[in-house]
Formats: sequence, C-alpha cells, structure tokens
Amino acid sequence: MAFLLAFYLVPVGLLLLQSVEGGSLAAYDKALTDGLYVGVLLDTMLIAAYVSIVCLLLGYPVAYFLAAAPAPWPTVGIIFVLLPFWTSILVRTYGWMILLGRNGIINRLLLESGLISAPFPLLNNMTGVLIGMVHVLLPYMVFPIYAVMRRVDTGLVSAAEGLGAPGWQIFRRVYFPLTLPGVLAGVTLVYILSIGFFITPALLGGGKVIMIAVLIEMQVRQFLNWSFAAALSAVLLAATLLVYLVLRRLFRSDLQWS
Amino acid sequence: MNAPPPGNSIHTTPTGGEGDLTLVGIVRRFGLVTALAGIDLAVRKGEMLTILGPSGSGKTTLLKVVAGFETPDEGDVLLGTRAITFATPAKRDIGMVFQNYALFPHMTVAQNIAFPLEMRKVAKAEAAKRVDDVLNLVDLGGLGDRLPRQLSGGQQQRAALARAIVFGPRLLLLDEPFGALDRKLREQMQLEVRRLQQHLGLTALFVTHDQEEALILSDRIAVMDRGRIVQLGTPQEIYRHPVNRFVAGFIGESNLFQARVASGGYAVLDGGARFRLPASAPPEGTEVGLLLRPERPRRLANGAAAENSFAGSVVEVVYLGETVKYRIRLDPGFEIIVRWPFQSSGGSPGKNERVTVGWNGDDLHLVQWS
Amino acid sequence: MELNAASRGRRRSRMRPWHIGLYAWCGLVFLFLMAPLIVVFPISFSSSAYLQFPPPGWSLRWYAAYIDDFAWIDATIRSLKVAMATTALSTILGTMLAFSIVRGRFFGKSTFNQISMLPLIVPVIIYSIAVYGLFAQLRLIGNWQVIVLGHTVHAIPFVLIVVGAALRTYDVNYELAAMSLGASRLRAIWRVTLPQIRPALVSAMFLAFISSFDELVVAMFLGGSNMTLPKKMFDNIINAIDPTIAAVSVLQIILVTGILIVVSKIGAGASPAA
Repeated sequence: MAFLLAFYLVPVGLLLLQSVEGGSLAAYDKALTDGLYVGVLLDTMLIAAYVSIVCLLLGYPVAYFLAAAPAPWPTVGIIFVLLPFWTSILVRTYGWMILLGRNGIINRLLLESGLISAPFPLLNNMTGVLIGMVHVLLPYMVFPIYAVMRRVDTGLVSAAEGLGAPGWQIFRRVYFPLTLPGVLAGVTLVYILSIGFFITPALLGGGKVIMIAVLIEMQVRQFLNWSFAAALSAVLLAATLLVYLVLRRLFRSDLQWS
Repeated sequence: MNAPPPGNSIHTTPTGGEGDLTLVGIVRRFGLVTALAGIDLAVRKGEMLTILGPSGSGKTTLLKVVAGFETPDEGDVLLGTRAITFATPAKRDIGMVFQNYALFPHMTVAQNIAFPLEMRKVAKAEAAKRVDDVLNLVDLGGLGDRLPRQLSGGQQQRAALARAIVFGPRLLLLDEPFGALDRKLREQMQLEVRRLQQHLGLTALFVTHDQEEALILSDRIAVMDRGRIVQLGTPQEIYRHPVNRFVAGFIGESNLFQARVASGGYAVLDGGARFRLPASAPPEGTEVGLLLRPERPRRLANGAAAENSFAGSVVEVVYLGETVKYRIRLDPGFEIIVRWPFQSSGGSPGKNERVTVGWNGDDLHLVQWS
Repeated sequence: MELNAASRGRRRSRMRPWHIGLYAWCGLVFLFLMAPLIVVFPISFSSSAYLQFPPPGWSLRWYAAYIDDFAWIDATIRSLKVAMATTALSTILGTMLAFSIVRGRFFGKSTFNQISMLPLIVPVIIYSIAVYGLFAQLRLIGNWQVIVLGHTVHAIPFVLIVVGAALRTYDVNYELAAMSLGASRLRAIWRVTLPQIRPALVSAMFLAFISSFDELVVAMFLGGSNMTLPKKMFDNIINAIDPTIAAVSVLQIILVTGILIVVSKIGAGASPAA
C-alpha cells in the first residue's frame, strides 16, 4: 500500500497541482473554453460513445455464443477472444495497417472484385481509429456480459417459453434485463478505457484524429506545457471518474471487475 | 481401531504438572455483543470435558480463545501452571481436530501427520517412526501415501485425529468433529475417539451442540448459554438435575411446567391443575419450573394410585423401536410426552385411547424458571 | 402426443434461422478479432521490403534482420528484464495487499481496495506524464528500474483481483490448523495457503508479465532513449514500415500463445472477467 501511495497517488497528485500553477486557473480556462480544445474533448467523448455502441453490438451476441453454444465451441470462441486480447496492441495495430492501408489487403480485394474503382481511405482517419479501438476493447465488453450470462438461470427462459411468450418477447422482457448488469459493466469499462486511449489514435489516426490523450502527450513532449497538460489530465480524470461513478450508481453494486 | 500396542511411543508429554486447562474470568466482546461473559472452568488431567450449547452460545469463541485464534479481553488461560493467554497458537502445545478436519489437500496423509513434527524440528527418521506408529494406532496403517480426498469420511477423521495427537500435545481440542459423518459411522467414531483418549490419558476439550453426543462421550459437561456456563457436571447430574429451564429443555426430552408453590407441599399450574411436589420444595409463593422426564410417568391400571394422577387421551403415537413415545392430552387441559416400553400383546395404547397416567412428587425435578 | 411432436418441430424450425444468424455473426466477429493477428504471418515471411500482399516471394530475411539488429535485441532483453522484475514485485506486493484486504479487519478497508484498483480506471496517459514529471526532476529517466516501478503499479490490480478471488473462497481453517500444529502465521501461509492457491498465483504472474511486456505508454515516457520492445515497435511503425516488425509480431504472438497454453494447464482465472 505504501508502494502505491509513493508511486501512484503522490505523482498523480503532484501533476494535478501543476494544473493550478501560480494559483491561476488559466490552464482550465484554456482547456474548457478554447474552441479547438473543447472540440477535442467532444470528439473524444463521441468516439468513445461510438466505440461502446459498436462493441456492444458485436460483443453481446458473442458473449451469448460463449455462454450458450454446445460443447467445444465456447472454448474455441474464448481462445479467439483471449488470444488477440493478450497480444500486444502494437502487433494488432500493425496488423490493421497491413489490412487497411491504401494498398492493403482489403482495398486490394475490393478493387480486384470491381466493387470500387479507387482505394477506399480506411487508414489515418476516423474509420481506422474506430476499427482499431473496437478491436482492442471488444474483449472488455464480451467478458463482463459473458460472466453474467453464465449465471443467468436458463430455467427462467424456459419458463417464459412455457408461458407462450414469442422469442423476441422472451429476449426483450426476460433475458436482456437479466444480463443488463453485464452490459452496464461492459459499457462502463469500454467507455472509460476509450476516453483515455492513446496508442491506437496516435498510430491509426495519422495525426488527423486527435483524442484528448494524444493532446496531453503533445503538450508534454512537444510544447513542454506542463500546466496545460495537467489541466487536461484533470479534466480527463474527472470525466473518467464521473462516468465510473454514475454507471456504478445505476448498477447499484460493484462492477464486475472479476 | 485396534487396541494400541503396549509401550507405544505416543503419549502425553511426560513432563509433570496437572496437565489441566484452567480458564479464569474469560471475557470476549465483539463490539456491543458479549460473546463470553466471564468463563471460569478447570479441565482435569485426563478428562474429556464437553462444552455443550446451541449456536450463538459462545462455545466456538471459547474454543478459539483456548486454541489461541482469539485473545480474550479479560481473564487468563492456563495450561498446567503456564499462562498461555497471549501465546500464539503455535506455542500452545494443543492439538486440534477441526470441524471439517482441515487436512491439507496438497499433502499426503503421512505428510499431514508429519507436519507438526516438522514444525517442531523432529529428526526425519524419528518423525517417520512416530507417523507410522500413530497411523497404526488409528487403524490407518498403509494409507499414509494417500491424499486426504482419497480417504472415506471416517478415515479422514482418524487422520485428523492422528495429526492432532502425534506430537504429544498437552491438550486435545475437538470442534464438532463428528458433524460430517452419517449416524452409524458417527456413533462408531465417538466410541473410538473416547477409547483412544482414555487409553492415552489425554486431557480433551470437546465442543458440540449435540446433547446426545455430549452425554455419550464426556466425563463432564459444561452447558453454555449466552456467553456463560450455566451448569457444570457429569452427564448424569446434568440430565437428572438440570439447574434451570434452559438446561432442562436442551438436554434430553422433557415436560416442563411453570407453577407457583402453594401450601401443603403442592404447586399450582397456570391452568389450575395441582401437582404434589418433591420433599425439598421451596417456600410457598415461589415461581418454579417443574421438570418431568418422559420415562417417569406410569400408566395406571384401574385402582392403582400415584401422588399425581390424571386421566386423558392419546393424541399421537410414535414408535421408536424398543420404546414408544406418546403425546397425551390430560383432562385438566395440558399435554405431556411420555415414553413407555413397547408391549407386543396389545398392552400399548393406541391413538385416541383413554389412559390414566400418574407420577409421584419425587419424579418431578424443580428448576429455576427464569 | 402428436401435438407435442408438432410443436417441437415448429420450435426447431423457428430456432434455426436465428441460430444460423447468430453463428454467422459470431464467426464474422471472430474473424475480425483474429484477422490482424493472422496477416502478420505471411508478411513476416515475405521477401519484399515493401508491404506487398500477397508477398512476391518467401524468405526468413526479416527474422534474420531482427536477430542481427542490436537495437531490437537490446530492446527485447530490456523488456524481458522489466517484465520479469515487474512480475516478481507486483506478485509479492499484490499478494500481500490481497491478504490484508481479504483477511484484515480495519477501518477504511474498502477505500483501500478502491485506491488499489484506481490504476485500472485512471487513463494510463495521466499516470505516465505524472511519473514522468516526478522522475524527470529526480533525474531517473532512462533507468529500467523506474519502468519496473511504473509497470508494477499497473500490474498490482490484476494480481489483487485474481489472488483476492482465490483467497475469498479459501477456507481459513487450513491456516488455523497449521498454526495449531505449531506453524507461525507466515509459515502456515507459506506451507499451506500459498500451495493451495497456486493456480491463482500462476495466473496473476502471467497477467503481470504480459501487462508489463506489452506496455508502451509508461515505458515511452520513463525509458528515455533506452527503449523497450513496444517502444521500438512503435517507432518502427511511425517511421518506416519495414517487415522486421512483422517478424517480431509473429514471435510475440507465439510467446503469448505458449504462455496461455501453460497457464490454462496450471493456472486459473486467466481472463480478467472469467
């Protein structure tokens, strides 16, 4: 504990102190009123929202598959989710560059099949960033939902079937509400991780997609503007904790970290 | 368990002293709850003393205080003449058999039993010999290489017992060790544990909520209620002469009546029925509890008499093999439970049959009501 | 009877289309998840210096380039060193923390727990520049030991989750039994408790190792000119796309797969949510 205190809380605290250097709130003023930076903040929130929604749409059926498919498939599926999850983000990002580049595999396939006549811009823009981030964060959506689904009593679903409810109704009225805690945990996790994301936007955004974490890094490394970077950090931290606390309150109990 | 070989190396430590455990004014509080409200108790050398009480009576806390897992807020624990109140469990020289045995699942039976010897830095060869001896003593010879999960429930229990006695502890603690066994095996193990304890002359403290078990196994029983020892005595004393309503109700089956002592050696129940009291009745006007064990009342044939006799009808009949239990509603408006031997030739009454039952004043036992 | 069979038949035919849809959807998602991992394999064996697909020819030149390049090997060794030290330090500290949080009875325990979990929630970039600021003032940037400290902070929550879960389901009576048999508390834990939660410890060590070995942002700030493997890869991706990184990627995927197999044999709870 003393270790965490010394090497975690103290440095973060010192950093936050720098945001009000000389007792002035100028840095916050700049972060929260300058259109450029407000734009970055809003972009970040928006990207995080997109990523969360896409992850949910992709992840929920996969979680169901892992929880309900017959014998060998769940294990196979879990390997397909775990293996990318544990592979370095850099490896995966590099893989996406091979796939998505102007002369990448996907554009080549589309060109050769005659579906498009000019390469589709998939890299160094929002599309690339979204694809990369969804890829990295999808397991964080799948696992909490999967954990909850495994505990759902299938007898309830059978009971609803026995009562004559049609399939869609069973899902909407019985199964989905029962798995909602997992969904909330997954969305919270993905959203929180999204707004602080650095590597993927830095590499796949090609300098065109600036998220707040990229902005903070630029302020420190290129402009050495510590107080502004600290203020941005404080804003990011506040946003993160806010999302965490709000969703946790909604959930009314501990998030399914484990 | 076979009779142990003579000259067996497993014995209580030869270093003298009374070998007894003495508890002096033990108090333990958890926040506002007082788990132990002043316990004084002396366990004699070589005796098996049972702490009997319902859950929440404080018996588990008491056991933890003796074992060293809890430190009392007040009072002292003495082993012989040595105060161990604040000693760590390891330094206490007490062997303990846990409720679920707590045999280490990643070690073989022999490794489990050798564990306390290893902790005491007993030489390898000597330890191996003692493990072998104790395995034979508890009838587990040849099973030392098994893992605990490969043993049956009774064997696990023996292994746990072997581990608790192999280092020759001053005191053996048994924490509801028979709870996990089925009835038949439980009775067998109870007798075996008892025989072994007596053979080795071990001082033992046994904790249970099962009054039947306590009556079978103990030299003496201490009955606990709400953090206090309410009665200490031999099984017979506890059964025959319970000091209060709680003990009377907890040990054995009983009929309990609340009554007020009236003149002329009688007591009057709430419903108005009058009971003849035993000779040692308290002064007139006292509120008392009257205990009547179910085997005491007799069935009265026509013309026979007793100091207290009532007519009534049988409400319920339960066959228990050799004896039959009856619930009888007596005419003055109260029910009693009686137990009579089964009689094959139509001598046992059936349901709804009219009977007359009677008992003398001396069959009643006076207990404190409150 | 007939009605029953009919309704069962109807149900099966009703289930089938959406089941096929579900399986197809999941198949696509699994393809999406695996695709970027799979494509690096052919590229790594390409004979071309450019990103060409399909490769014009096959060779092992990029593996040779990796092994012959001192900078790559240096970065790999540094990363292994950092990851191993992080594993050791975070497993020890995290296990101690798990014991005090699961077993302890003290005021502010839940706050304590929450603080320990913070590194999972707070964006890495914030922590990275914070320690960067601190260690820059202390002139410690560039020491690999400093990276270990940063990575340990991030690995502790993983250890805490996995070991804590194992401890919560562990029956304390084993430990008490060992103590009554003459073991000190530490010895009881060492001889009886830890061997029994070994699967969780193995998983925790794996999580700690991978989290450090793959970590870029903290290492980027604290490493200075002494690069870790991820930093070297990052620079390589930014500056010039050269298939050496494909070879490195393949080696990493193989390493992770190997560790995953080992852990699934002897570990427990290798995923943070399982």
